[in-house]
Amino acid sequence: MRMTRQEILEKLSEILEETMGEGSASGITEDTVLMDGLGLSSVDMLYLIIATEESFGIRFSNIGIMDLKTVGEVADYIEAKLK
Amino acid sequence: MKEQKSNKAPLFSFKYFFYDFIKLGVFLTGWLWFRPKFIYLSEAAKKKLRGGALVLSNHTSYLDPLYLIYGLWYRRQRFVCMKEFYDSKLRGLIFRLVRCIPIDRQNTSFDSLRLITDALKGGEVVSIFPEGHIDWSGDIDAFKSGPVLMSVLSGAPILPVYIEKPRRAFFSRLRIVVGEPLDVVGTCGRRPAPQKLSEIAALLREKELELKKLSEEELRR
Repeated sequence: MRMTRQEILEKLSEILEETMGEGSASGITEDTVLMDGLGLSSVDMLYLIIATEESFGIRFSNIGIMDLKTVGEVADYIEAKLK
Repeated sequence: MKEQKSNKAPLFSFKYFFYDFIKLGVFLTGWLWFRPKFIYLSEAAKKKLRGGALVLSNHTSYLDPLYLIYGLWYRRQRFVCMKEFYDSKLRGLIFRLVRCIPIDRQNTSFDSLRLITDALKGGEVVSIFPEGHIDWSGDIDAFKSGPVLMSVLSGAPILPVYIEKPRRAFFSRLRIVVGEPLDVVGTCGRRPAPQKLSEIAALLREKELELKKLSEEELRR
């Protein structure tokens, strides 16, 4: 599946809205910090990544929640997996 | 409650050789020493677990996994342990041989989560201490919501168990209080909001406190 960076970010925002509730993704940028910025707990992060895996059809392996600090880092990982 | 895939592990299995070896050792020596007393919350709690299930217990000593082996003597269990322990040379060897599942508490990996949910989906019993640490005072701290997520992803029920370790070795008995299995997916569905996971974790802690109370009442009798 080929996706542009912008498409990945839009889809990530949709996933955030779906899993964390309406308004949770408003104003997010690539630099938005997931845990400290959006106030996600470690379980929220796991939950978010599971939804991302299902949505993009990829697997997050050999990586932990602390390795994905910002929205941009999640997008980087997805981009690399989709290549 | 949806019936989980049954654990079809044979009576003897190389995969479980060391687990069975330790379990046998525990039974032969520990049964006389600890004289475990089983207390069940209800008739439903007496029903033996079939298929995949997540066992949650309070954690007040290093011996708790051994006590849990008594509690669910009829099933092999896989314990979730700290990655630091699992990776250490000598101690880690035992953890690896008995097929523990390591989890990095500081940087939980998605692979650990998958290992646990795959084991549960495969019909295994996974045991975890949801407080995330040993509470030496004997209190029950807040439960983490990770185990609830594991239950949601695998569809396996959660069985709360309370361990009351012997207060004086040999002179007092080990008490194991078994609660009723909770069908988490049946309670909150396959796609609960993250907030719901925390609510279920709090509910499970309430159930654990109920088991603790039952144990104390039993002691007063």
